[in-house]
Amino acid sequence: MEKISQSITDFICRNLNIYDENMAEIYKYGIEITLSSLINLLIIIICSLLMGDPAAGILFMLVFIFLRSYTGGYHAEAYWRCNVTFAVTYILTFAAAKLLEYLNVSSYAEIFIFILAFIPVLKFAPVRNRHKKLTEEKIKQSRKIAFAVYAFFSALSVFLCSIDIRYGYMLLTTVLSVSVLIIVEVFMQHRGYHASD
Amino acid sequence: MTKQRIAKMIAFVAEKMANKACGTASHYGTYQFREPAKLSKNTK
Repeated sequence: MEKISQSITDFICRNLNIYDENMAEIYKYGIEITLSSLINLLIIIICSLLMGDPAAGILFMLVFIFLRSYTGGYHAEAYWRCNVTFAVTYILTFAAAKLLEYLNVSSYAEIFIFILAFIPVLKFAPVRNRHKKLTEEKIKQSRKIAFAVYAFFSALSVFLCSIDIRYGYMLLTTVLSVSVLIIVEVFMQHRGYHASD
Repeated sequence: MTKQRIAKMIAFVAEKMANKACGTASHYGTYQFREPAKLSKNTK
């Protein structure tokens, strides 16, 4: 991925006569983010089609993008590990949603899970990362947005389950997966596998 | 379409995506990107 991004960046710089290293670095970063996002999207589309429920995949992506962009969480150091993590996260999230649906968990149990999953968000969001420096203002803003997004998806999930729309469970488990990935990252930083600053 | 035009379009999208990513606390995906220092200074 890095080689592809570098080749595209070289193509841009060569054709637009750009000699500024900083600009080249920004282009490379933007290309990497775009390609990685497309690959992640493709992974979820393939997995959800294989599991026979593309709507669940779309819902997962929506919740994951909106919530994780403000909470942060586990990030892999290698592309292959990132893609495997992403696919495994989706498969486990889907399986957990199916299990909750099968068990037909009550609204009270759902609310309990949401409160439990909110603890890591409340305590750690946005998870600090040495590759992305955040100002105090940005941290405060991200926390507020994360809380609002979390509250919205929680309420929507409980509502959907109460009217027997099974995608409410998918919402619940996706929010839970974001929370679990926060715990994983905090644990890895605590053990020294990842640096926080 | 000329090579220059294609390069311009890719550069436009790449810059937009880089700035958008800089506006959030984290990328939603699970890869650890290294945010360019200049981008951090410009947008925060």
